[in-house]
Amino acid sequence: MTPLAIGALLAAAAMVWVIAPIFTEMPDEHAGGPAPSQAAEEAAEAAIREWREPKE
Amino acid sequence: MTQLGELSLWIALLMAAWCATLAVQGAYMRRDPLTSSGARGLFAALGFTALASAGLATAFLGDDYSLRYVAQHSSLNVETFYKLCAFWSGGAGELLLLSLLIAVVGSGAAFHSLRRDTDRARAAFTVGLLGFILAFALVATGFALNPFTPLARTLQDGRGLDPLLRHPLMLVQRPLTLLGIAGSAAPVAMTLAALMGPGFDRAHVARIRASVLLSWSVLSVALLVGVRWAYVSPGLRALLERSPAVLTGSALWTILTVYLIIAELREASRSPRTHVDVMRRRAALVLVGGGALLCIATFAARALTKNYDAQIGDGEKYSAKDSWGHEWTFTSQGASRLEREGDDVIAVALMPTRDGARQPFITSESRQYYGPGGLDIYPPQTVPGIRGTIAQDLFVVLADAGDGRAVLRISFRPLVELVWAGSVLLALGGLLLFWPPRERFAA
Repeated sequence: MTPLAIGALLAAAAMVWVIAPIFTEMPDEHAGGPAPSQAAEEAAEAAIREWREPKE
Repeated sequence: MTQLGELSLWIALLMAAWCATLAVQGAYMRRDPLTSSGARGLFAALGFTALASAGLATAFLGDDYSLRYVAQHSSLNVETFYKLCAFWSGGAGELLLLSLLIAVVGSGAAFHSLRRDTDRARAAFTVGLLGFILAFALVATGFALNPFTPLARTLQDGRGLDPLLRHPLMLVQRPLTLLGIAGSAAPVAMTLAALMGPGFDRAHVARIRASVLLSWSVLSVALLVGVRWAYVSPGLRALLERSPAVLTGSALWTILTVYLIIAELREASRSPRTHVDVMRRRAALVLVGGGALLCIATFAARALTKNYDAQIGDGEKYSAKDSWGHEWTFTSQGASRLEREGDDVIAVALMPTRDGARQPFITSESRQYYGPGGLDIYPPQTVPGIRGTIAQDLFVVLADAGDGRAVLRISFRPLVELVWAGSVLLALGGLLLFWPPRERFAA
């Protein structure tokens, strides 16, 4: 294997390692504010239930 | 390996540029993955700069005279030890080594910042700026003074290493100076990172100060080693005074000293009197003692130095009186000539007596180094004979020898050892004074 081929292989391997964190980025679930509290989640679920099953 | 070395230099530059771009973007967008990618770029740049340096070292050790830089600074008859030292004997090699050291220091500082700095944006800016500084050094190495530039045709032999640089201290003086310069990249990056928005807090200021102190200490040792080397190698002083590394190192040392003094004065005016003051007082005592010793010894050494230019035939005796009134005689043991591969050595040994009491032999040499084809490219290199005591240095330099006679300069240099002691005390006092106590780190 020529030195240039070894260099190219090393460069490719290094590039993969370097850019890996960008592709393993987890989507930000709580973008735009803090995580909702338990009470807020329960209130939201109640509102959705109410909307789906309107009182007669 | 040489080809791989040059390729690695360019890949390292790309990685450093990647680091600078991604980490700064990560800081502005507050996205850690971008910063992580940038930091990995810096670590990869370190690996490739090390590979480039290994390529150049291999070219020197393997006598690859297809490279201009190797052909200019080495030859077949240079010892292996000095072939390695020839790596940093010229501007191109110095820049490559500086890039490597910036990569080492930068990677360490980036790792530390990402783990310790609570402000993520500031840590990201620090990483990006370190990448930018490394990229700048690599651009200078690659485009301005590339050590991998080939010659039009491969030479059989090189020009050889400048004899003035063939000294064991070459192994440490230049790398230490460059390490001190590279070390200052960390505080510069950390300061600029704080100025780019996030600002300073006590912990960050303490980190900057610790890195400044580290760089200052390395530069202090490098400058002391350089001065000592210039003392024992006549002719080297002019070479060192023209060296960009030494000039940059000296200027940086002055700037760092002023920074540390200002930081210390501000700290002293703000904090209440504590046990820290006791340490400061001790440091001040060491500083004042070292400074006084240095001043007195320097002036005394200059005023009391006695020089004698002597022509002594084989077996003849020469008399002289030192600065303290002692009578000395020097009996020539004759000149001896030694022809070695690559250099001829002419040595003259003298048997001294002081007030009639016999003293150990003292020898001075003149070395003529040969380049390719036996050409004497460089002027003869003089190796002085030095016998140092606390009272004085006896310094013998061989100027010429032939026809059974030797021309020598015999010098009595009083209190020179105290000049060195004063310099070391000054450096230690500075270190003690500027040393940040643990409380300040914890703050």
